[in-house]
Amino acid sequence: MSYSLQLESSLTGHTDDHVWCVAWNASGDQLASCSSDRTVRIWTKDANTAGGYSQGGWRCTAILEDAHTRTIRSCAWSPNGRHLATASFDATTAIWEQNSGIWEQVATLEGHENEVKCIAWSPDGSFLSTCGRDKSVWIWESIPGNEFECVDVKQGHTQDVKCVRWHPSGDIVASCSYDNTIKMWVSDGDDWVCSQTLGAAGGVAGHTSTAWSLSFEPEVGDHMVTSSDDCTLRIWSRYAPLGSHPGQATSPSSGTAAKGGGRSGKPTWRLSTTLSGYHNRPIYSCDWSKSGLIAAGDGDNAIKVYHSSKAPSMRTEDSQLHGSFQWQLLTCKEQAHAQDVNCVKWHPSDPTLLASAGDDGCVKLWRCQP
Amino acid sequence: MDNTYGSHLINPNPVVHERKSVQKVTTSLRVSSSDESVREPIDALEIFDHLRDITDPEHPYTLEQLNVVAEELIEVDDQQGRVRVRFTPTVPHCSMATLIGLCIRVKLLRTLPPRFKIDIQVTPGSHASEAAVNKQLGDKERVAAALENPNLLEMVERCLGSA
Repeated sequence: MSYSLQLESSLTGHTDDHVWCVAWNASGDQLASCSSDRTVRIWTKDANTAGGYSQGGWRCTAILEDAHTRTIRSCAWSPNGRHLATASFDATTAIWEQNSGIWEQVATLEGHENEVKCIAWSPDGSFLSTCGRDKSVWIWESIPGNEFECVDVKQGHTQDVKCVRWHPSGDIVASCSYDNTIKMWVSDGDDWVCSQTLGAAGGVAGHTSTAWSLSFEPEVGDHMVTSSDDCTLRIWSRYAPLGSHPGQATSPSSGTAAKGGGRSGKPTWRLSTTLSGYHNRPIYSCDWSKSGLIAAGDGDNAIKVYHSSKAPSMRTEDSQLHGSFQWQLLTCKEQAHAQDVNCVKWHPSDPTLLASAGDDGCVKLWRCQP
Repeated sequence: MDNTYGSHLINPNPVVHERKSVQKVTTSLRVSSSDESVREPIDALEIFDHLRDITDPEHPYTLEQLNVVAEELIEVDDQQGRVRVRFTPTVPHCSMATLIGLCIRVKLLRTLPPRFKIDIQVTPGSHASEAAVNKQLGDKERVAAALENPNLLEMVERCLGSA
């Protein structure tokens, strides 16, 4: 069956070319977009679509401004949809609260030395993570009363950190960087420690240039996808810790495999698939849908969607299932935007709806279906 | 010279070349097509014309006079909308390389139609940190952040003032 990406809505309004990021709220009736114009726009699905809005039933219901003095690079909704966090090149992260459709800035998170590049909420909304040009990853705790307290600052990347994401379980933060690596940070009591560096020199094969974005497989989180300046997507799979699987012997070979950075008692992540040859320019964004599709947006103005014939569950070190992933291009949309595609995000519940943001100043909604 | 960059010149005695007497190709000079829908292709000479008179950040000379840019180091694929400019720093340890590259990128962002994808790189073998400089110049996020830095933008504008 042949699929296609059909443009459903084109949402215009940002006054600067770069729209960097889009984020759906959990219920999927609001979409936030942020831009170099230093604003966030909230797009709300009109309940009466028949009303004939020119933008396909979505309209801009709020503009969040005056909090940041430079580009807003990233935005993220809290899981309950009441808060929106925005990360800016002005070195701050702002927290906004929505009450009866009215938005108010309720907190500012300061600490990064310069550009904050990404912000992500933990799945239960009790923590946030930020990262930036100062090579650090910060973990913040959300305290009642709109207070946010920094609980840890992780140094480790040797260059700016481009993206942070929480594992669906809430006990892993993954970060990817200009230093070409992905680091897995795990909670160890009060501290967060780096359990593994993916793509480090001498370790497992990884990206050969900047890792721009990553996305965990939703819900179970046995896999994640990363996108890179090297024009590839890489899919990484989680393996059970040594000894946790009945009947598994601690063989010399499995010991060697764990040398890539795995801590005993913690799952290790290993490269399972590299998707290369599909993209001509850097891939700035990737997103894994609940229905198992991976969308990727690139610097060649294209959006590509991949599907897998098989989604294996968590495997152990000794199982030789590499290559059993059959990832294939499902559909692609060349010239999805008139310029670079900076962000792609699947709707949280409608498996056929995809949002994208580009350097052409547009936010677009796409239908991915036969 | 307005010395904003410290007292030590990185290359105190650069070789200065003549400005080539290539005819400037402007849109008005080009042969106009009778068919309005036919796009006038952009070629390497036109790109070179946009860049040749940029002032070097360190010297009161243009990038052409210092042989930092040259027409033969510019590749254009008009059909695909691709431009690759290679530039040659005057010394292999030139710390101004990323600033020069930024100036070239800004100039082209301002003059070329947005359908062009622009890659700026140093000429292979011409810089001690070639890979690092190329990576920095190719990172759109760093470029965007740099251009929000008022001091850096002022330096870029000064270099572009002559171009």
